[in-house]
Amino acid sequence: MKDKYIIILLLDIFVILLIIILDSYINYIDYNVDRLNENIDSLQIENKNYEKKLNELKNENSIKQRNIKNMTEYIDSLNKKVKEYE
Amino acid sequence: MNNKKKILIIILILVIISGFITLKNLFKLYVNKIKPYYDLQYKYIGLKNKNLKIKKSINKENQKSKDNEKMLSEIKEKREKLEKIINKYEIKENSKIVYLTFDDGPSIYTDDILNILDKYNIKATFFVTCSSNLEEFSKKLMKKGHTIGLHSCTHNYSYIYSSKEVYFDDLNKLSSIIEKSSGYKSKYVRFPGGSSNTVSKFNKGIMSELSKELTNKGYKYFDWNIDSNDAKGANKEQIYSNVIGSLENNDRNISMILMHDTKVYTKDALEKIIIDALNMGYTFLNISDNTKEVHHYINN
Ligand SMILES: [Zn+2]
Repeated sequence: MKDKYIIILLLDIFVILLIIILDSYINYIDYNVDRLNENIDSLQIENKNYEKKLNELKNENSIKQRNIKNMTEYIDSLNKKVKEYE
Repeated sequence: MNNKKKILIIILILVIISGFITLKNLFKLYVNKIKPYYDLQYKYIGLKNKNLKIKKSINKENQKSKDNEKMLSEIKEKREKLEKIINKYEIKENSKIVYLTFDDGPSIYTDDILNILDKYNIKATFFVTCSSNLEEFSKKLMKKGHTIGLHSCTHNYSYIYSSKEVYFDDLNKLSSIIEKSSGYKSKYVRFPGGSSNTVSKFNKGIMSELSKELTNKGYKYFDWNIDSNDAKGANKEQIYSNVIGSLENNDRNISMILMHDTKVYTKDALEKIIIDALNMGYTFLNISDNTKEVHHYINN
């Protein structure tokens, strides 16, 4: 009979421990979910801003590229004329 | 069956039922809490990766922009050498060249204009006056590689065109302020009102006299062949269409555009003008010793 009581006692302890662990795990998740949501919000805003900046930079660079292209063509035409002359 | 057995079976059934309920609740816990939590974590990691990727792309674009500047400065050296040869042998050259010229500044809008020019690595020419921030801007303009030209210290028609001596007094005063602050002695001049002005008619022949004297003293004077009309009250759209319209039906090699960095609409119209002119194949240059003079017909 004594053995049975010990087993039941151990079982109780086990169940109580399980409940404590689960409870703290749920608390941990709740805390992290709040934090994650905040981080996700700020990341989404940050990404949106970065994307806007990237697009602006890309446009700017394509115009700069055009500037160089025109300049290079100008130099090429000068070069051609000078060679023709020489 | 004895009582003990009955109790045992009831306990067993209770254990099975409570086990079943526990399993159900664990499943509920997984679906409502744990799975959304991990989904959220995945979402976060995805966003974080995207963030890193964009940052990398931005760095790449910044690097590209720096490389562009390096390329332009290499091009500049080559260009100046070739232009010298072209001018020396008077070779006819027919590229589409645009000179942006800004008169009457520096003003509160000059910084904005410089920022736009910087953005696309474009150099321009500023025909300045004796405004209160001339010294500061003389340094800035030289540092940024733009050209400083002499407009007039006072910009007062009835004063400067009253005699040759007064005109050169005024010009020298402006020139020495620029030289003192930036170390640069400008040899490029733009007459207030242009060399074709009639506002100086009160002093007959003064423009012919001044233009000859300037050339004798080693100056070059530059009028314009495209007027943005910004000094005559054109708004942003009008300035844009005045300039781009003229560039569109243009058979001249050199387009010398008159603008004023004292006008708010000029600064507003400038960026679009630059972008569209570049897309039309124009090359922007600032005035240098190699620049051919653009002159009006002298009316006085
Ligand atoms: Zn003026």
